[in-house]
Amino acid sequence: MLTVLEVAGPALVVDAGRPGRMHEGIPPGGPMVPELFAAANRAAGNAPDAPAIETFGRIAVALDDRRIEAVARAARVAYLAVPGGLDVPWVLGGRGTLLVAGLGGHEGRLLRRGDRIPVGAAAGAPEILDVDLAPGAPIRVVPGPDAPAPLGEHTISPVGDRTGIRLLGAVAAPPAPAGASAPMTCGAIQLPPSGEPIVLGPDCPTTGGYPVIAVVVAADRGRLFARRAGERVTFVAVTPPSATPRSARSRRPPSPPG
Amino acid sequence: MADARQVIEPFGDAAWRLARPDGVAAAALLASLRACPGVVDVVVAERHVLVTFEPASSPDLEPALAAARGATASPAPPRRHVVRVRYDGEDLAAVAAATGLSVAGVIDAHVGRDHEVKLIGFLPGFAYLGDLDPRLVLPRRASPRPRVPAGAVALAGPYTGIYPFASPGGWHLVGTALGFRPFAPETGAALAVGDLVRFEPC
Repeated sequence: MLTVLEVAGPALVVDAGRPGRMHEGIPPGGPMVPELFAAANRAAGNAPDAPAIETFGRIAVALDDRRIEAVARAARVAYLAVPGGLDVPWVLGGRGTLLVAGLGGHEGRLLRRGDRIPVGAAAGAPEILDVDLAPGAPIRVVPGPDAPAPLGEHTISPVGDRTGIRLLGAVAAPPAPAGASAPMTCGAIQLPPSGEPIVLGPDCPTTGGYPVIAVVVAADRGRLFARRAGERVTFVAVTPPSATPRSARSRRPPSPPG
Repeated sequence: MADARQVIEPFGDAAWRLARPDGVAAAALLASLRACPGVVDVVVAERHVLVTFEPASSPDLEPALAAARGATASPAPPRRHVVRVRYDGEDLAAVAAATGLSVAGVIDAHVGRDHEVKLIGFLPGFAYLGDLDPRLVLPRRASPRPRVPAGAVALAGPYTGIYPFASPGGWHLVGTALGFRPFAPETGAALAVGDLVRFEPC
């Protein structure tokens, strides 16, 4: 059993996510920075996707007689994993917290001092992974689909959470109406009327009305979400490597019988 | 007789966004694409459908799109739901004033028809119910409320809906759903695209 001793800033239980339910309005979730999440789990001897704590500030827990701390210092978030992983229940195909629905993780909410969370049976041998988040390297985006706009250098805003992070530095784009509700995913860069882009996070709503000017390449999302307020980010446009869309041909529906 | 090209746009490297094909039922499209090998998630919205997949994979959507067209030609009957509503919304009088109807007229217009679920989004289990009586079509409130209670029945634009959770919201509140949970942690969303919802006053 793990006991939360101190917590400053949002902290919650995350896992690798609950994909496959976006049609119900349920975002896939998962860690903000998958690289750090996997490394924390491997360092505890767990499978890389075991439930662990994600903190946007600082958290200290007691496990048996040991005190363990995680501090989001080098990155926007830090992870605290314990051998065996957190033994939280499966809810709708995942074990992570979905705050907007109050489900998953520990009682569907942010962690508080005094919370007691069961721990699974310790698993394998620890392994130290070398995580390089390449803090200065550009972040790759696929432009569009709504209104491709030149993304250059931006600064990470202090405003951000698991639903999305804001960028400072307006983007010049032709005015696009906030259209009908369109599908959204993690990594989509929306342009609200203020001109300051929002990069949607793992818990973003599955639909939204602002135009999408670009989508961050999946492998680069963790490196972007790791950056702290005030850090710079440079975007570079790429074409999707192998995901060239097929132009499917539509067929006429079969004639009704008779 | 020329084949129409299906427009498929890249949405990053792990999703494609398609224009909703004409004449294909949303429910059939969702079911066929979800069953498509390599597809992880599908979101059907007003004018688009999004499919997600593992980066660098390239699912072949053509058989699923063809299956959706076939299923549309001989559709399964839609699921029907009746939702009892207490018409006590804070904006009921304002909706009456803005539409030129009486309060009773607003209620009559809201209860008298089937509303098809056009899309699910914004919140888990939040269904955008279409086929709203045209007399009830109003722009969103000028300033959104910081907190709309769970279970609130509201309308805005061509839609009506039921808030599954307390949340900020800019829709006009007309009532409260009784005995109906749009979302439950055990079972997920109660409504799906293509379902029909009829409101019943109580």
